Amino acid sequence: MNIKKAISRTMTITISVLILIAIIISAVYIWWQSAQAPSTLTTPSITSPPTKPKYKETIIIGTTDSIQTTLDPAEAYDYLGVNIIQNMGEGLFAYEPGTAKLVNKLAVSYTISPDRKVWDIKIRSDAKFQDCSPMTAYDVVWSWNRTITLNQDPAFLIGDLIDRAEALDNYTIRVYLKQPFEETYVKALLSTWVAFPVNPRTSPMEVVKPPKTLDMIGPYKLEDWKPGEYVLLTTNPCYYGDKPKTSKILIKFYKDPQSLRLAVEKGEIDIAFRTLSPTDLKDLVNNPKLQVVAGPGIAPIRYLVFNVNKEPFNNKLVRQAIAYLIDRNAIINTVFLGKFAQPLYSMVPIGFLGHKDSFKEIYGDKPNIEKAKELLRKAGYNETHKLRLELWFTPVRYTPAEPDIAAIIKQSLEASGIIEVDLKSADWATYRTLFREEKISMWLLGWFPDFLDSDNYVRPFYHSKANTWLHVNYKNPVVDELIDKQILQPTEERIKTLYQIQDIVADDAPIIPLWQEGQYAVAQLNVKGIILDISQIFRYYLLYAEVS
Amino acid sequence: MGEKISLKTYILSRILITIPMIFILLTIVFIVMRALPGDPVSMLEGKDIPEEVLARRRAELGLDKPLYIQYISYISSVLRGDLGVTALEKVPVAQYIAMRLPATVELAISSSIIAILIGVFLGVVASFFKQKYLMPLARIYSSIVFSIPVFYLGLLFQASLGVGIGLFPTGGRVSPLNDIVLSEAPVRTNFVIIDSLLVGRPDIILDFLSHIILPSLTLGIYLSSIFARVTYLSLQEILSQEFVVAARSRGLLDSIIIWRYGVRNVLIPLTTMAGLQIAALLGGAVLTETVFSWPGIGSLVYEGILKRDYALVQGVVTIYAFIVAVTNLLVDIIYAYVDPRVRF
Repeated sequence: MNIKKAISRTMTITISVLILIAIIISAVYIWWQSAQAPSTLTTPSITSPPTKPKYKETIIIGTTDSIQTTLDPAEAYDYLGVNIIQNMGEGLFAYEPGTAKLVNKLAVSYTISPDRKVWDIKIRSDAKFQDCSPMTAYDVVWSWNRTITLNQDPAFLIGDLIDRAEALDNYTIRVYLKQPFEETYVKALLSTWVAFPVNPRTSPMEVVKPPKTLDMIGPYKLEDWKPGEYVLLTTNPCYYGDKPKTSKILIKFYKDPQSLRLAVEKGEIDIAFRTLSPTDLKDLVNNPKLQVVAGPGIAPIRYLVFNVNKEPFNNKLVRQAIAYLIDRNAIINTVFLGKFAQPLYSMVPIGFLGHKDSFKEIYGDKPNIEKAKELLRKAGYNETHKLRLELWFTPVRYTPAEPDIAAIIKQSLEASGIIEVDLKSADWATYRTLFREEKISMWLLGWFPDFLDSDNYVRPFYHSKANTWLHVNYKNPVVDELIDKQILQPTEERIKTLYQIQDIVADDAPIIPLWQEGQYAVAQLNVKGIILDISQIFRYYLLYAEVS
Repeated sequence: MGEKISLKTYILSRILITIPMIFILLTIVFIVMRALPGDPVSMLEGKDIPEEVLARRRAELGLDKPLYIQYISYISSVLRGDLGVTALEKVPVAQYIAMRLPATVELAISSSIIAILIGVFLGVVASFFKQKYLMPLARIYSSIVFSIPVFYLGLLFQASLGVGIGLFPTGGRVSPLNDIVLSEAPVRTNFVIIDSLLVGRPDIILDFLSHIILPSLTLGIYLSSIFARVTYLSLQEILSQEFVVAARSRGLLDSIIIWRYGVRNVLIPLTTMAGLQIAALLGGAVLTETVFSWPGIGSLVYEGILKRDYALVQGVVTIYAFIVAVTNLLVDIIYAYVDPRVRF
């Protein structure tokens, strides 16, 4: 009894103190919420007439992407790292926003020799690096030599293109190509980040490590970088072109799509870009406080790979049967809700030079179970002697819905009654090891292009000297020859050759293209300037958010 | 005098034991990481990077050398105080840890305070109030809370208090704009409270507190179930002993009995438990950090494992082993202070 009285008194005091603390904390919180320090928003001037809207000083972009290596254009090869570089630097050519058209950027004009192996390119005389030193042709040539000499992951993009380059004067570059490549092919490669000029006076002949980057010519420069947390860009005062309306861009990294979605819903960030799940997108489209901006997607395209050296995929009939059974529409409608992806019937995406729906022409756009059964029976399989397969996927790298996609493919193949599929998965490092060591025979992959040319969608997959990384083991000398030929041909002939390639590889079916996803940015309503086009470049320098 | 020499000897012996313990742990992690399929360069694959470039990267990381050479090379660099650099980004591991460890320390301290306050309070209540409506509730609380997966608890708080009522932010450590402000601190300690004062923006502390509440509540409530249970059981045992009956019969006030005999004796097992929990929290709470995008070392080591970044994982484990050793030593010292009977 006494114990209880003692406890009662103690309890009463304790509870009273806790309530008092809670009241104090609530009061402080409410005070702080109402007395927030003024944000860094630009406020309108009250001394001049309100003629032009003012813009937010900082736009915050949230993403689940990460920078895999560095922000050195000679080494960067991941989407986010490259995209940031594409906002800090420029090349001789660039894609016009909203189009697939390559236009002059640092280049002013160019001439091509009759044999198509020598280009003379005149460059701008007013371009300056971030330290305001002028760019010359010597700087461009030095930069290309740096990239090729360092020979990091993406160096081959210009290393396989350029034999040598020299500056004829301060503003003229002569480029000797290794082969007489087709004009748009050359421009596409010279527009890549690896060909961006860097300031030779401040750039070392070694890869620059975080948290630094190089002095380039672009609308933004790197202000701060906390690896794994954020990157802060500020406007480059020496940029020759139009100054961005937004002074600062903060790219904040999130660990998962859920956190990213919550952040944009709560207004903690201005834009969420890469990668939200289709279900999240569907909900956010219906949120009246946000806008969802869509664009054509070619990164990644998704496909199914077979190791054609391994049974049963060394039998073309089996590969073709699977091609007849794949139900792309089921994947699009179920996982991508009928609107966030498009079925893909060629490894050359829709919108690219020479794209042809070869798989659709041969196998149709709906499953043909009877035809598949016929081929499987010819291959020696039937309802009593079934074909047992393993389908591998990696759960995190591409989309959160990967397990659902694998389940739909399994269902499609088993609809034949002759195939049984086991689903297997592994994290990326293990997955990559498994197909590198050829321990798996059928697996799902995605492709992010290096540059926007159809060659980058045929050569890495079907050319026997270039597809070794994929371990598909597909070797077709006719296809090799056609691939080597098409990059040297004028456009009209090139298109015909690309058609031929797509027809042959669709018939051989070592790889089955599945779908291409769109790009989506979810943003606050006051954010403008979001342009998502086929270049896959998210141009921060076009973004702005009006404030009243 | 005898006690002081004894404690000093004890501390020295614990330090000496810690060194081989860390190396055994490093060896185990070294072997386990390399037993996993893949290596740091695997993260770059999936593009048509020339094989010779990938091979060169592997050579630069020493991955082409025999395992025992890699092991010797790594141990000798650790002995020189060099934890190496991350495989692909080339960020010094020590720098990465210095960036992320303060966030883990902040979360560990705040969640421990919540865990201890709630846990001890409920344990004392359960022990003394034998009325049906209270005691079963406290026991049920302990069982239910501990069986809820911590990430689910986090998601619940996030959905209700973060999104539903909108009281608190749902993730991060400070608002993104305040990240920029803190980056301007003349000296970055990476402790938000200190950096906020260094940049002359104490208001950022409140922003930070609003961000830390949900992850701290998540971990704190989850761990409070352990403290509640330990407190309850310990108090039950202590208060049923004869010396308590004797003290009561001598006319000592109940409040004195409880605080001098009850709670003080409970401090011994509580200290041990608190020490172990804090040490565990300082290793990073991976699930909570992921749910709330809290940039601590728990999520750092998880990322390192996924990326097969050997240097990063090994570096974090080294620091963690050191933290555990120091924390356990401090617990023992506090133990001796709380219980004069303890001798070494």
